[in-house]
Amino acid sequence: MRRLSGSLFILLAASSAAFAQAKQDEPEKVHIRMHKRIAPSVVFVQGGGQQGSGVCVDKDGYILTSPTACGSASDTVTVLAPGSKQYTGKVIGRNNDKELVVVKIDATLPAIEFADSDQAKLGQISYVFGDSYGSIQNDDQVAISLGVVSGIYEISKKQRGAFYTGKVLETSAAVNPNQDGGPLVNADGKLLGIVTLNYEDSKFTGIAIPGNVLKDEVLQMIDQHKKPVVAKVEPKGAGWLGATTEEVEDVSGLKIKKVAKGGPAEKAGLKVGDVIVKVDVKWVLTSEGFGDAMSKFEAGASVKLRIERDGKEQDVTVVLGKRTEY
Amino acid sequence: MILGLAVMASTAAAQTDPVEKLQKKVEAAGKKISDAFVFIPSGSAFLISADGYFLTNHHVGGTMTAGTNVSLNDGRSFRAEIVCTDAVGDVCLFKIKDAKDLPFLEFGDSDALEVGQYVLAVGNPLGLAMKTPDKKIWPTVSLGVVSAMHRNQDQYSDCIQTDAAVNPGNSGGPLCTLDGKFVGINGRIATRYFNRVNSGVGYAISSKQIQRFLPQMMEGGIGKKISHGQVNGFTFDREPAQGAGAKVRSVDASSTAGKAGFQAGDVILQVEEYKVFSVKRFYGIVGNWPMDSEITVKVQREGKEVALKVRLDKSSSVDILGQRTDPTKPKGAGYLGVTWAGDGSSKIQGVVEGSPAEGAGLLKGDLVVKVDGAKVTGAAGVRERIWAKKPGDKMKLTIQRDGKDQEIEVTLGKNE
Amino acid sequence: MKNLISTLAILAAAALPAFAQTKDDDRKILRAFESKWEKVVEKAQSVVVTIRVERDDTREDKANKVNNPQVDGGVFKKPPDRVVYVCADDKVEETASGTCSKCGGDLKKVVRGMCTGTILEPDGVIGTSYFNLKGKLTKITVTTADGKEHDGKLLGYNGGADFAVIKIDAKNLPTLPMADGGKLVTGMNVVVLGRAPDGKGLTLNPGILSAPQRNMGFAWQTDAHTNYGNVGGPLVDLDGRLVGVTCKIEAKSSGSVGQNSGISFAVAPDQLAKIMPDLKLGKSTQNTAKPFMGIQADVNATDVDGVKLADVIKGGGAERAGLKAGDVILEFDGVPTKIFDDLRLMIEKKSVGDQFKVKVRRGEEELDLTGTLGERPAE
Repeated sequence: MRRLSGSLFILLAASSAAFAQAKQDEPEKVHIRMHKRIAPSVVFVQGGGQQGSGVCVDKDGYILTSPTACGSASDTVTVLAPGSKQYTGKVIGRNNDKELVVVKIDATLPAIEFADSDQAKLGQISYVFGDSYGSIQNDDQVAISLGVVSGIYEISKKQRGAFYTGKVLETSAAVNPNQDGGPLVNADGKLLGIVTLNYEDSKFTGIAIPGNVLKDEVLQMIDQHKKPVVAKVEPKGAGWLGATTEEVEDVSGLKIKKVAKGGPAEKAGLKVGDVIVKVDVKWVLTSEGFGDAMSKFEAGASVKLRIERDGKEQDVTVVLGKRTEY
Repeated sequence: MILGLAVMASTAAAQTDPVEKLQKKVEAAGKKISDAFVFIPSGSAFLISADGYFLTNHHVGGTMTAGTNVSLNDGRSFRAEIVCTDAVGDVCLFKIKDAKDLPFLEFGDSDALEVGQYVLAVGNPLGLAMKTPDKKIWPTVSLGVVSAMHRNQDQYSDCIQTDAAVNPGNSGGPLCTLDGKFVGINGRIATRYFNRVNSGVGYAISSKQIQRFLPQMMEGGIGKKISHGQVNGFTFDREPAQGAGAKVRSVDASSTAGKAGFQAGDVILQVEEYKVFSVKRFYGIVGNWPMDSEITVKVQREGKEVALKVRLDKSSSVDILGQRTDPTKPKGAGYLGVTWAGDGSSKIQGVVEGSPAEGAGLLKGDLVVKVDGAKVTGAAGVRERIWAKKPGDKMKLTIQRDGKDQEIEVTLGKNE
Repeated sequence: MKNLISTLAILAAAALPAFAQTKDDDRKILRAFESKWEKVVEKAQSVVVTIRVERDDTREDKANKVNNPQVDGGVFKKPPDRVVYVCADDKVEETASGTCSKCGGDLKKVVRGMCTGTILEPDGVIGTSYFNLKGKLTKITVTTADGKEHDGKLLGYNGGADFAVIKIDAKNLPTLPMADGGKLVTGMNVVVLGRAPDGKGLTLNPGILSAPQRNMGFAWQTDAHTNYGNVGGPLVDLDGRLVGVTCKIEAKSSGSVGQNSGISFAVAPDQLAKIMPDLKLGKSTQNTAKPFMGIQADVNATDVDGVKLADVIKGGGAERAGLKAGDVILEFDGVPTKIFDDLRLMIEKKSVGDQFKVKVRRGEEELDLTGTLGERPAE
């Protein structure tokens, strides 16, 4: 019995190791699997006399795309999702200078997360997905092209009807007409950037606007859309932070101007100069957004605030009090 | 116990570098494909049999009616002639005269390809290959992935899209998986702003399509030509189908579609094993079968699925060199004098009084199975062969009558 | 029995993860690729240099006019050169002609270009593509990876290989080990490195070796992208060894390689070793002679089943063979020539001094003529 179990052990060990080996031995299949993961999130868009691609960044049907793909002033956009499902989408947010348009469709789609594009390095895998010469529109095929991040630099000229200038991620993956507005994806399957067609005619090199340029604004737009803006007036009984904040130029967040003596903010350790960037799960950029976010919490509630202090980020939990200052 | 653990440990340690592994595969496949590569003027080609059959595009070799000289990568030269060409599908079959033991590529299954899979394109872009001092000729090898499949690009109605570098001159060369089997013929690229260079989009005719045509092509087709099929008699709804299928708006009762049993309101769901999600996809699938083929189409009718068999008419599309393939009878063509059963088959329905057919002894009910020794599968095929001849030409028909095969020779007449 | 069951249970538990392909397994495979390319950047970035040139050349560049209608006529401008206006001080640039707004001096039109080069020897020998250095250069400035600027001098070039050598005054510059030319194989992974378009940082384009002995035996062909920005930089293998210096970018992009077409070239290691000694001594070669038939094709002719000749060049091989303007070439060396490209490719495959045979239609007659190919005159 011992001998049998011993040889059985060897057999199973060898075969499981062989299976593991066989799996690892399939570099060919890796891009196939990535395509299966990402393609369901990629769509064809059309509007304002333009056509192009887009990608779902929130599963409740929020599509990120570009004005070069769906128009620079359009209110509605036709979206074609995998399976040839056609929707009429509504533009819920737009920043043409960043080539950023957010479209809402009445459907759920798998979403793709933002990567930290500041971590992008030369040689990192970067895929381009999208409608390549009508591949989604006509053939229900999300086209994939394989490449690496081939350059990280600044562009300063607006060409080919593009709006964006600034830092770009260049890719060696093939980029073609109708792929603008579509996603540049990294090896983690996350969104590195959005493809723009602002390149030199004769170079045909693909470039994308880095995700970090777009992320905050996009998530903000989606958030705002999900929860309608609440009146600035604080409802009675709402929780009190005990700090005055202000929007500052070049600062993404709300800077604490004053901390009320003995108030909840002071008790939690918040200081003048701290920049509040997140309230609970919501990133905050504007006074309106901050007020809106805070108004959800009653007196006595615990709120996690992410702040930036001396160049470092940290989380601070504040127990909101009842307003005593009037 | 210990031995088992040792096996596991050593296998784990022996995990080789995936980059190295992939490179070795690419190098080996590149060499294998290059050995079967054929250098043909202004394009590329590749051997598919040891006795010298090779494939290229029609737009590369289709007009070389007087034959051509070709070379292999070991520097040997041969004389080759067209066996049959497909002007719509853009595929041309050649044979090298008196050859044997030549290296060749096997057919891969293009339907089994997956988007994102590595593929190699081998060709002679810009005619760069020249004999090197060691008397060898080196084709260009480039690596990419399958970007999309089943793309309908007009004549390339069900083609493979790849980002492997393909340029003018690659036409006719093979697109292969990393095991060295070919899954397509590179024939077309998308170009931008009048720059005729690759921009990451190449289109290849699938090996599956070629396999459907190859048997007839190897027999020489009809006058070294072969035709594609289509289904006459439909009009379709042009509303977006939301992926549901191709909805039939109307059917001409006397047409092929009508005789096959299609009805207005039918939603076409599937052709053979391929799902149909739009009208364009339906045309794309049907577009890569030869004329006279019998295909099965599944439709949705009043909540139920119905399977219909239809025999394809001759396609009336524009071929790859811009010429419209003409489904009508050319002037001065030969005349036989029979009418055919309406189902598209080569069964004789009626014999015209005083015609060459009557004189030769053909009867109603005869099923024509061969014309001049070549197999035919439908009326359109027989018609084509008649039209390829002139009045006064002889034609040998093999017919099936009362369960037996018979050969009848007929001299074609003139049609007033 | 209990022993067996527990053993099997342990094995099953251990083997189970092996059967589930996870995102982590894929990540590991992709990471293996990424780390190779990242290591190449680490090893090779210090040999990539930026070359800035100034041109003072009033030849008209027809090729540029065709590709870029906005080009300033009357000045030879290799794409993507910029035309700037500089005063005698050289410290001020304006973008309109006239006098300098700051010092009142005359403004001179000057053409400036930026491209890539490769450090080949530690005492300041830089290799690049000859394409980068064409025309009358008045200034060459080489910026090394450490940011230092050096004045450069063009030592010599080989037009056929499209390779040139610049010398700067420096010592102990970093270089890459040469790859073993005998071990290079079609299908091998390689990487093209170059200067980023904004002059800072690098670009990296991966690919494979596509074919050996291209460009008259001088170059390896690769499908990694080369373009105006990175040509002249190094082609490197994944171990950081120098496989070649990229070359042969052409301004035309129809019927030739263009940019980023997947057809790229790099002067091979053994060829670099062969041609460098002469170049360092200042011995330059223009073009290695290209075969020339001496005909001008009528590209506007329609409805012709061959190559119609608009003209026959005086003193060329075609004239000597008896060809005349208006003739239609039906066959060249026995091969049908339906279009001009067919004929052109066959001529290019031959060498200067080779014999050729043509079948020609003149009016109603068909003629068989023979001749000898001459040399293509320098452009």
